[in-house]
Amino acid sequence: MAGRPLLEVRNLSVTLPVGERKLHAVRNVTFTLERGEALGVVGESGSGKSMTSLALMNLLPRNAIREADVLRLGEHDLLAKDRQEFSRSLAGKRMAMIFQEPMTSLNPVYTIGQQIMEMTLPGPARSAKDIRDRAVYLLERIGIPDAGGRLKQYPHELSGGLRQRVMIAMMLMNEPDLLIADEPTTALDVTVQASILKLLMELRKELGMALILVSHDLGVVSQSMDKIAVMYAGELVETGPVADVLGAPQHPYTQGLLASIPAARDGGARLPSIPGTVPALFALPEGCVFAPRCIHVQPQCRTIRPPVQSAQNDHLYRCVMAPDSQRLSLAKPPSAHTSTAKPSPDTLLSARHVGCTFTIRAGMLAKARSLTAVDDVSLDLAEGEIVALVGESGSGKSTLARILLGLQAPDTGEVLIAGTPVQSVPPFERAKLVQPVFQDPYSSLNPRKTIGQSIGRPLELHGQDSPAERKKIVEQTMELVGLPKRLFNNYPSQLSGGQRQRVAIARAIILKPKLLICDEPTSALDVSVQAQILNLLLDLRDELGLSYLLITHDLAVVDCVATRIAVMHRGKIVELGNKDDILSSPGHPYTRTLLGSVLKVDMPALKARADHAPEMQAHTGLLR
Amino acid sequence: MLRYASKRVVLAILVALAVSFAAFLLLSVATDPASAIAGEGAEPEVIEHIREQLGLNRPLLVQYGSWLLHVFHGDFGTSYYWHQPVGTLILHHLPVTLTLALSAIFVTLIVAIPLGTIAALYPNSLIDRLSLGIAVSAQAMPSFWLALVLIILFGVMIPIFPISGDAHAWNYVLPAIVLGAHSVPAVMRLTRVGVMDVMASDYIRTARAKGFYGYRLLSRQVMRNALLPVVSVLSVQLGYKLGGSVVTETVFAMNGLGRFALQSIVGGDIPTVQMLVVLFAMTFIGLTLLADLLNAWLDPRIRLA
Amino acid sequence: MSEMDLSFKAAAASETGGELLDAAPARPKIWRNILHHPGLMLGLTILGILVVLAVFAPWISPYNPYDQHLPQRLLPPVWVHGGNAANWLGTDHLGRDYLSRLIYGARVSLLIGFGAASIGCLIGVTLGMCAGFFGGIIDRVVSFILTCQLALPGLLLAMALVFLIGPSVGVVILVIGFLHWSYYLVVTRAATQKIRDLEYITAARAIGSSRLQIMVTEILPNLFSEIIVIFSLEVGVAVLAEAALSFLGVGIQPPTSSWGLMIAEGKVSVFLRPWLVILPGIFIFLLVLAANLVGDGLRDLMSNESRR
Repeated sequence: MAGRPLLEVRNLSVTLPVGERKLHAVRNVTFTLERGEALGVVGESGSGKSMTSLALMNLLPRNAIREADVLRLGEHDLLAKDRQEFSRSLAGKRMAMIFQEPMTSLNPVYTIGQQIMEMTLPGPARSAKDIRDRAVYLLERIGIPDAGGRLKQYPHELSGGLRQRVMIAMMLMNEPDLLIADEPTTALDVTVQASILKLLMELRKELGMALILVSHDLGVVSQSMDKIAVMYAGELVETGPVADVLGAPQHPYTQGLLASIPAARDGGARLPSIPGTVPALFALPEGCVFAPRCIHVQPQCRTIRPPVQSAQNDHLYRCVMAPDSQRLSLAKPPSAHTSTAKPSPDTLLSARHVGCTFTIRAGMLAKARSLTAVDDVSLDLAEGEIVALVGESGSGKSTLARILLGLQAPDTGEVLIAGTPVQSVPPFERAKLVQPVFQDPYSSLNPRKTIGQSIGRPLELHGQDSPAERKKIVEQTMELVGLPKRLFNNYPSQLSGGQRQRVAIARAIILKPKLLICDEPTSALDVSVQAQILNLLLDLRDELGLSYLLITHDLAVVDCVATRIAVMHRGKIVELGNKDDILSSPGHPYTRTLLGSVLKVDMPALKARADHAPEMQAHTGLLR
Repeated sequence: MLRYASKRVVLAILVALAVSFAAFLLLSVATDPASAIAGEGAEPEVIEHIREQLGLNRPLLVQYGSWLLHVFHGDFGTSYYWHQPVGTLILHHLPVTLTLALSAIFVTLIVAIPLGTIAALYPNSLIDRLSLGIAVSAQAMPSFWLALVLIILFGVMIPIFPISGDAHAWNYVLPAIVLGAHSVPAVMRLTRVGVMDVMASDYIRTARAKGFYGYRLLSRQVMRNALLPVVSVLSVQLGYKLGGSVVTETVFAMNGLGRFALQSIVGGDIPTVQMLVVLFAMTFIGLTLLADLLNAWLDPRIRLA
Repeated sequence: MSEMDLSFKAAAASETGGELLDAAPARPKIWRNILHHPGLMLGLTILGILVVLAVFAPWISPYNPYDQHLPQRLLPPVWVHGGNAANWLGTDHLGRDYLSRLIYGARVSLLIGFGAASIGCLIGVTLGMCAGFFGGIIDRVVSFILTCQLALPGLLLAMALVFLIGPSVGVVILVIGFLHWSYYLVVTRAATQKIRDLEYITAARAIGSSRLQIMVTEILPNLFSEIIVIFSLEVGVAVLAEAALSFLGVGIQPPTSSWGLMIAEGKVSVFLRPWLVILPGIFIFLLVLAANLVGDGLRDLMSNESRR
């Protein structure tokens, strides 16, 4: 389509004052978007992707400084409008945004009908009845049955997935030209995620609306977007058509990101990963912002800001290396050393017919409801195995984990660890057999204790060694998990997520347990850090002879590290078997749904598309 | 909603019983009214006789039970000091305190809520700091001192308001200011925090994305959420005022329940004190119940649970 | 730990997150934050001065506060006509030096303030932690007790109890302390409930800590900062409560010099000799203000810290 692009952004920068310092959250971001086009903005934490979307919608905190050469939507110059003007003419009308947390993004004291209908003020063109009809139409269109009745409901009566759908309906009331979606499905279950994304794509085509989808998940972006923009540490490092960028990535960061996505490893090879961590953006870097972590780094990279180069057509990237579609992905990992030894036949953990039911009362005089969290679960784990327990939220996996750890007594059945019932093992002995690693690196460490104290506490509690001996053991353990010794006296708040998770692992292994129960150990981490932690877990298995029960919802992680899989749904184990068998031919319908919902980066397909000439988008979106 | 209400009512009754028993226990243990009535230097037989007359030699639980029974029949005991039924005495003094308490709440509201809201909307501005300063100062001032200062000011220097008695409406101005000033800091802070929290919430961000701004954002989206906790606190504050008006009434020489309570205490009038404590407690419980129900009605999350 | 495979070590080293997020020193910089907070500094200064006055009263005050000199009754302060330099702030109705009485009054107020706040702290924190940690029936019982305590009219009951038991400093401290623990309980209980569900508590159980150990070593350190804030504020509350009691005649009795009592004694001549009322009130105001400034300042610091 001829004419100017719908959205034009040139040299957008966002600076946030933090205390006495300034955080350069977004630097020199430039891109355009045509009518009806879908752009995926991808990046890990600290990449500035959310800040960019907030900057477009004028939702930055009051003390933030937004600068750009050009910031234009249609014929509206976004820079020239003050907040009031923007709110009056653009927000919710020509541009709309949906957010990550559906549970808290709706006003709790108004019905959803009120919230949807207040988007459009009645006036000469629209009567109140028209507005209501449109609201009902949209609700039904987004898949909420009995829309008329739902209008009277309050947000807290709806599930997360439904609330997000309501948000979408709400934002589409005025048929905006551009919809920005900031991680709209991250807080939702995998199965719900797929349906929400499908809905967004359908609506986009119907309304001819442009879409910017911000996500950390490459799989999500690869399936549904036209263009992709990869951000790192506040800068745009690569943009272009999705097939080109993901099929033939040019920037080392993009390559590393794609390579470190967990996937099946051949013969126990280590997962490639990007060394180091994302820098804090208080000082403007000289040279390339990725230089400290780049394996192809050259001396000039540290001093001169790399220019923008073009691979082909719209595929742009910011690096000094020449375009080469054949260039391999990042760092050949050190030769596979993770053992391929078969797990021993000794059964380490055995759960038989374990059940657990909770009674819930809303208050002192309310009626009691019973909730069966775990329903007749039987599971075995042999020494040296990595068994993955796969389930979504509400499947009962966390309750099962607590039971297996011996921290909660099951109502029925029993759990044996190394032959003895876990409930009757004295706490100190049990602690030496099985230890947990949790999901949230931010709440698994006591903020008032130093790293050394947290890791050393198990030793201190068991009272075996002198303080000097303890310190030595703690330091050895820290080295084993890849933490520098000098962090001994630091507090958790000074460490990154990946480092904290290493601390949690160190604390778990210091008593030399046989079994680690890991509850979503990498879900809260960035993809690149995730790869590091997974490698660490694999190394520790070989080094210390550990076995793992890995609880996760991420099938890619499962594919990468597990030997056997147990699928859990509504408290029951619905499928149990070898990883390869189950992943290739799942038996149970739930497993099939789960596998079908996973959005993966389909490399072969992308590579094939990259070889063809790119098509100009041909959207015939009718505007009504 | 009905189930919620009935739950709260049952709880309120239980609390009332517990409180009345606790007060009864404390007061009975703390003192021996018989010797106070007999006077100093009275002989043991006289004291014993009085004790029997008043039924003070029965076991405590029996005394409490009998007291409770009488209360249910509307007999609130007879004052040792005034030799009149306690109920009549209380009713006589109630209107003054009630008027005072309500005026004080009014003062609190018109000062605290606007100040708190403005402070929240312009954090760290001059008005924010000023209102915080006022709050901190008002909280540190003993109310009787403030009362005396106001008396000096308006009684001597600029005589506009009367400084004693409770005959006319004007009499209530100064006392209402003193009594109200005490809650202003708390309510102001609560409003400020409430508004700030709501302004920072996700759903307000959504509202901004929908195009809400300025006054419209405030009135329609923010205030209803921010003022929810204030409603409950106000009822509690009203309860405190009823119980805490002693000082104000004493300094301004008003014939309210507070001053009456002080006189009863000093006079060793146990039945009256007992009844007053229970009365204040019951009023407080009733007001919190009201506040809970109001809160439940206003907040759909509770109403429809 | 056996010897490590060379390639493993090398691989681990290249992958470590060796960089600190924020190259800050190991100990958090509390002292700098305190110095930069004007309210906190002001509060600490005033408090410090008053503590010094109280502790060193015998050496600082010019006269014995109990010495009566009836011929020199009701002398005005030195800046009012009729005052003299012998008694800077004049004398009271019994000829006692006002300045000395004010200085000794600091002892009473500080003693009662800190004493009552400590008793309240002990009761409230213990109950709050137990209620928050154990939940269930214990929580329900504690909540019921709390509701009852809140329903009791504090001032009234305090007046009655102190007067009837017998007014003395000890009784006042005990009574005020026993009636003012609700704030501690509410905050401690809420904070404990939040922490109880965090994963480091589960981890502590997994390594074999007992419940008591968890409460004391894991949860309590996280509550310190909030408890200190409440403690400062409660000192102010206790001081005001004692002042009110003494003012009404049912608290500290003469001849002990309590600021509230001094105001009561001066009330009769409030129009002729306003300083008798104003001066002690200023002292009460300053003490409570200082306590509140410290409490608020600490709360500000805490919320800044938790934003990291």
